[in-house]
Amino acid sequence: MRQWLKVTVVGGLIALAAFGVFVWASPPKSQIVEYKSGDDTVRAYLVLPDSPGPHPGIVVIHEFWGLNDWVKEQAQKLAAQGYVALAIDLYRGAVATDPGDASELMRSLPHDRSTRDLEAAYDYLAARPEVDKNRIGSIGWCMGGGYSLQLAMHEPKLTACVVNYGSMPTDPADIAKIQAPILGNFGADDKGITPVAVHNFETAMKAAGKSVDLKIYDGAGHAFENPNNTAGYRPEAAADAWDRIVAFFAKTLKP
Amino acid sequence: MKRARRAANLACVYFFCGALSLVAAPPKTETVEYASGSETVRGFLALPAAPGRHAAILIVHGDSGLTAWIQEQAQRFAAQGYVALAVDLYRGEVAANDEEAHELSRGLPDDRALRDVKAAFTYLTARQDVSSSRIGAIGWQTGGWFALQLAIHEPRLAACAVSDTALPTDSADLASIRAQVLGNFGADQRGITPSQIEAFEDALRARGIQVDVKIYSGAAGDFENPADKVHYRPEAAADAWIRAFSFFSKNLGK
Repeated sequence: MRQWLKVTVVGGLIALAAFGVFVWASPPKSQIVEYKSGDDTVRAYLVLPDSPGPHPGIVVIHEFWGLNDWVKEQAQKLAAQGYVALAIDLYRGAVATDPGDASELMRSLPHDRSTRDLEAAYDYLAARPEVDKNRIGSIGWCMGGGYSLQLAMHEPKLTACVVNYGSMPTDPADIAKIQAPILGNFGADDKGITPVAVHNFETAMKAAGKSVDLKIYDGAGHAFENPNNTAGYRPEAAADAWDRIVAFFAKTLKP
Repeated sequence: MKRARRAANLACVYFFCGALSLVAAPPKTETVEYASGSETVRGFLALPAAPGRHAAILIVHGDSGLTAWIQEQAQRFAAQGYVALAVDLYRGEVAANDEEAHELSRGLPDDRALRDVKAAFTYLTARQDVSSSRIGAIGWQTGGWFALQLAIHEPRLAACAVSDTALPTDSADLASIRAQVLGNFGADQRGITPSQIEAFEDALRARGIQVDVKIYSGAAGDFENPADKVHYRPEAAADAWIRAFSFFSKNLGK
């Protein structure tokens, strides 16, 4: 009897542990979805939280590399926080691993088509039954950070916008169009998006009465949040930036 | 084969003429300043030796910025009789390597760049030595996009030559283009697809705009730039230059 009990308890514990590991390890549900952007049919990587909705939604916008595994992982991390995350694919299937190729893809990208893609992604999320259409945000890194701000300019109903080392609008008329609160993370050593540009954007946003929270990380350059950027990855700054992102979305998108 | 040889000969003649005029009277160059929005920006100006009113060319640099090669393009156009203004979208920054070029192009605010090319156009129209109805633009990579944006936003632009660049797709934008368009693309570059180029050509032709696109096999992006040791293709580059030169002389009334 005692032996039997022991087997049951141990067995039960093992089963429980295995289930726990399974739940802990099981990634949020992801799928490739299709929708229209102008006349084109585009694809995106959608990740849903485990619980039933409605949830806030987040448009996730890739770096100049394209929709690679790292960006998909960010979408999964956001879904694990309770958001429906839609990682869009501005390059229509192309992904670069070499900086030269990435640069070529970036400079071949028609900006007007990208703007259409962003609005289409917003509309797609807003129409999904699991999404609360009044609580949709956006996040982007590098090139995608610039586009995250473009979405804020073009979609007044966007509720939160995160830019990580992306280019910022300078035209007061464009800044006036931004309604979403903005969170930004930048590297002090970024040659393209300089601290001066960040300060100018902050000043212009504040002068226009907009909500803006920008942080510049010393000792960090462009793309410091991405571990694949082996020379430029700054784990501590990256962890801090992620905490800021989680807190910002919780404040702006959660009920 | 004969055609190829003739083209090569022609290229030699053009180069010889170009070289000769550079040797004979190097164009005057200077850094000029003008307003772009609330800022003062600088451009690199090259002037023809001859007096009078000239056609003008606005030069928009690629991802690396206003490099020595871009300045050289301005001088080449000036040697051919154009007032040539090379804008500096990066405000003094020039990339020392590919990585910096990527950072600078990623960091460029779209709205500021458009303001800058429009300001450069206005600056040219106000110059006494420029015939304001005969202004063209040329741009490579990122600069090609903004040269085309200028064509969209400035109906007085008469001619626009672009290389290795993204092409606008918005039908309202395409309908605003009045300038004749020349395009040179490397067949092996990854981003711009033949169907995108075709859609662009069709949209312009449907509105009676002349558009002349050439795709160079064996070339990728940046093939015209000798400073790009990997991608430079001298023959294709020479051909692209001849095409640009004839395009401007035809459309700017030289």
